[in-house]
Amino acid sequence: MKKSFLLTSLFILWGIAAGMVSPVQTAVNAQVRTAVNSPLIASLISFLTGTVLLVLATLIADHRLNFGLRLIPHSRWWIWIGGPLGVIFVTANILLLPELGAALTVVSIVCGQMAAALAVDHFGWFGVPRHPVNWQRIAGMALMVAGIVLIQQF
Amino acid sequence: MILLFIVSALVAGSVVPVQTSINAGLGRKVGSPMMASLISFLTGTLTLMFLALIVDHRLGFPPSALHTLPWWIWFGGGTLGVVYLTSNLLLLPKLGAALTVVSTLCGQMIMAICIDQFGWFNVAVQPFSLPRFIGVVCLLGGVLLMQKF
Repeated sequence: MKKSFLLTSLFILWGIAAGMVSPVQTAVNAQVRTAVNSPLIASLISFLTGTVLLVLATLIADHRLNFGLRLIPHSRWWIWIGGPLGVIFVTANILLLPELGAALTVVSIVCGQMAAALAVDHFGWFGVPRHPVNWQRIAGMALMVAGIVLIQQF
Repeated sequence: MILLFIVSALVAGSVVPVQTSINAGLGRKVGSPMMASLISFLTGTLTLMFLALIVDHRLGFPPSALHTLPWWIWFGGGTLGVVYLTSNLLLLPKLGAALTVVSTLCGQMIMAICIDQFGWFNVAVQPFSLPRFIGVVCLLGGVLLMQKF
């Protein structure tokens, strides 16, 4: 019991550390944007270095880089658009950070994230189990919007 | 104007759960979460090459730009992105969705407040204040409510 508490605390600390990485990434990418004078090329550099790193990580973890190519014609088309969606996210962060500041950028993006998560759960899109909207979830959304307003005003 | 930026941020954020759902499905199909991340980054890289060629008519940048920033900045963004993504992937089965989201979000807020407070990475200084603190508490409360129910 005591050991599992310790383990969970360690995982939570890891989660906090991983979260701290995210705004630093945006700030780093925003610096690259200024140096290369293009938000798209800054994103491209970020994705390219990430790809190289993941090639290494996949080789180490899975000892392979290929997957069944039959998957391509046998899957729904949208299964492949995760990357392009990530592009929207990373590039928007680069563009918004200098305008909104770090805190407001994080808060607004999280709010959009939760609103979309609510919709995905409610309708069970993309093969996610259905989880209907209830009043607690609506109240949670309202609290988050209040948070945005407070951080933006002060 | 600021409202327009906030709306853009909301839209950009709404992309995330869609991306996560899609990548989770992809991970099941290819049988490896690492491989799914790799495919996601690779297709993202290709998309950005197209976009950069269309918008900027170039894929490179003047080598003189390399000296304007510390060396680690150039691969820092990509590396940190992979650390964030992979940590989330590994923590989810250990902590569950709610605790994973809340703990990474706490880390995000702590760091974002530090960046604004001290003006790190050339971000304009925005000192921390009581209303900002209440705003952060509202956000965390909201996320907790949505994850619990």
